[in-house]
Amino acid sequence: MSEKILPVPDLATSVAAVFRLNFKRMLREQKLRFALVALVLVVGATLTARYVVDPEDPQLLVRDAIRTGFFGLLAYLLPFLFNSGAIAEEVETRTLPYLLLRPTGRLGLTLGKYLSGATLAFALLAVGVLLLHAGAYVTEPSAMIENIDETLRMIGALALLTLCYSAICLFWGALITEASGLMSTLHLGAVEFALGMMPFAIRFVSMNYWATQIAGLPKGGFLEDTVPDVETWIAVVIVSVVTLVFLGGASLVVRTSQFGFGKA
Amino acid sequence: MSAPSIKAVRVSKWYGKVTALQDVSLQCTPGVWGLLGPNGSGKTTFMRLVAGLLAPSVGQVKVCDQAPFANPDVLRRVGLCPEADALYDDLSGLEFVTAMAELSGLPGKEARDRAAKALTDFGLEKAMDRAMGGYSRGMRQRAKLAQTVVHDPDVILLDEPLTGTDPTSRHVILEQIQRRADAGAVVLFSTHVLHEVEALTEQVLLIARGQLVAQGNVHEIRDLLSEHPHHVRVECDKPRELAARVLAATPGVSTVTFPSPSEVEFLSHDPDDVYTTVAKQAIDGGFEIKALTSPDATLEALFHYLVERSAGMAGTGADAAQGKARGVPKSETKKSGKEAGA
Repeated sequence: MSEKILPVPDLATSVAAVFRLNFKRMLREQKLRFALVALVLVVGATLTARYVVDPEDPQLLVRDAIRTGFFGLLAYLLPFLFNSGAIAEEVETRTLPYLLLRPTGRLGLTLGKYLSGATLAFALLAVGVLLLHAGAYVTEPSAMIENIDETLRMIGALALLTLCYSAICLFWGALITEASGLMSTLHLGAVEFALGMMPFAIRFVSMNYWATQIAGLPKGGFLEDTVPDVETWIAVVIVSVVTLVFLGGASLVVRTSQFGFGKA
Repeated sequence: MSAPSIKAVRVSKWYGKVTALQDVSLQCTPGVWGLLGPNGSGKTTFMRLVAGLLAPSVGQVKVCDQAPFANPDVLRRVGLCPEADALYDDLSGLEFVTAMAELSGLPGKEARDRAAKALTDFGLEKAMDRAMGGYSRGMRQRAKLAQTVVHDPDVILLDEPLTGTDPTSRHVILEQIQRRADAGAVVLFSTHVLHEVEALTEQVLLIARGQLVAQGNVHEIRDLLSEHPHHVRVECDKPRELAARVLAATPGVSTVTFPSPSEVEFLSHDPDDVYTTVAKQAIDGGFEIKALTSPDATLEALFHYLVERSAGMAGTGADAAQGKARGVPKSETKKSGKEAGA
């Protein structure tokens, strides 16, 4: 019997411990290599177009590349890779009891998993955008500095979107462990991508649309003129609230789950 | 601080329509307790209830006087070695156990030191820096055990901890378990192999079909194994003639059946006598014996026998909680200070 019982760790300590463990594991997984390949392809293709095709307006090219390659592809892919299986894979590989049996608590587990996945996804996206920016303007240093504000704004919007998609993927992965990838794909594909292209206010259900507005990008999609204009701060609030709703949902699922988790 | 203990009062657990545990009551005090039962009997479900991974459908589970489900106050005092051969294969043993220590609330340096000590205690000092994906089955089992005890828990739950281990690993594991029990921990050790428990403790709990069918001294279980009627099945060329000769030579045979045209099955309280007679007939009587089996010379058969026997008895989980053991009558009179009712 222990001479001194360890105190229950506080939430910050718990989150940090889960974060460290999960981050260390993600750095060794194939998913990271896959994400890096996707990132290199997007940045490489854009820079190739920039210098081989030699467009007249590099600013426009950077903006289009970020909209298509980052908001339209990597912002979906990276949070999906690092968060949809965060809980589900622990159930599948039967390692979840190691985490649930610790006094970190289930909230600490959820937040640690969420933050580590979202941090890695955002770090890759931010590095990719900065490389793209630097690469596109490498021959025009003054333009590189002049346009950095716009690029940083896009990175901010990507950060918000990454946090939101990470919460969505974590929620589905915790709720339906047997089909975490499928449910996340359906949500991101149908709600976020497809509805985000729709006319009128239908696209308001897509956080991707709100994020592109925060980034200052054109609306795009079908009948873009029919979509009402909304102020940026409202877009920030909407994405933040949706993020918190899905994160709260994921925490609730993890806190109360028995059956799927108990079988792990 | 409450003393280390495990208490279950009329606990049932259902998975949909499947009953995993039914009306189980027991209490474990410091020391090693063997939880014996065949595969699918409910041992793992009981372990998960005690570890706080599941909540009971009915009844109460208390660990150190508190309900364990998702309760950090209890979980800091509990260590579980799960049955599944599942580890983070991309981490080294030291990284894994250190992470588990940190999750238990130990600061970084202390977590690493304790992890290294726990791994050393279980004989993994030379392998602790290697990725666990390259560990043998026995090493993986020892890594799981190291994470179980790294935070020095008061209640240690070991779900089939000796599965797949070699004799050297078994020796190390049993020694460490005993050491921690001697230090005052409650160790609940589940297995379906009787001799694994015999090496550690005389306190056993028998569980079958989700019910606690008996508790008592391991020697009483051994006695029951030899007392309960055994089936002996013989496949031979002339089963009816063999049956006639065995019946004439062995008075202990109570029933003879013919499961197939080439088989005869005897039910006897003295199976050794039947084996001897059959062997003698094979030599002297010229019978061609193709197979000789005893389908129930195992604990599983004993469990089924006890379930059927206890079905007709009045004992319930509540009775058990008051110390009235079922299935093993002698245990009613042999309860020691360490044992409590089941």
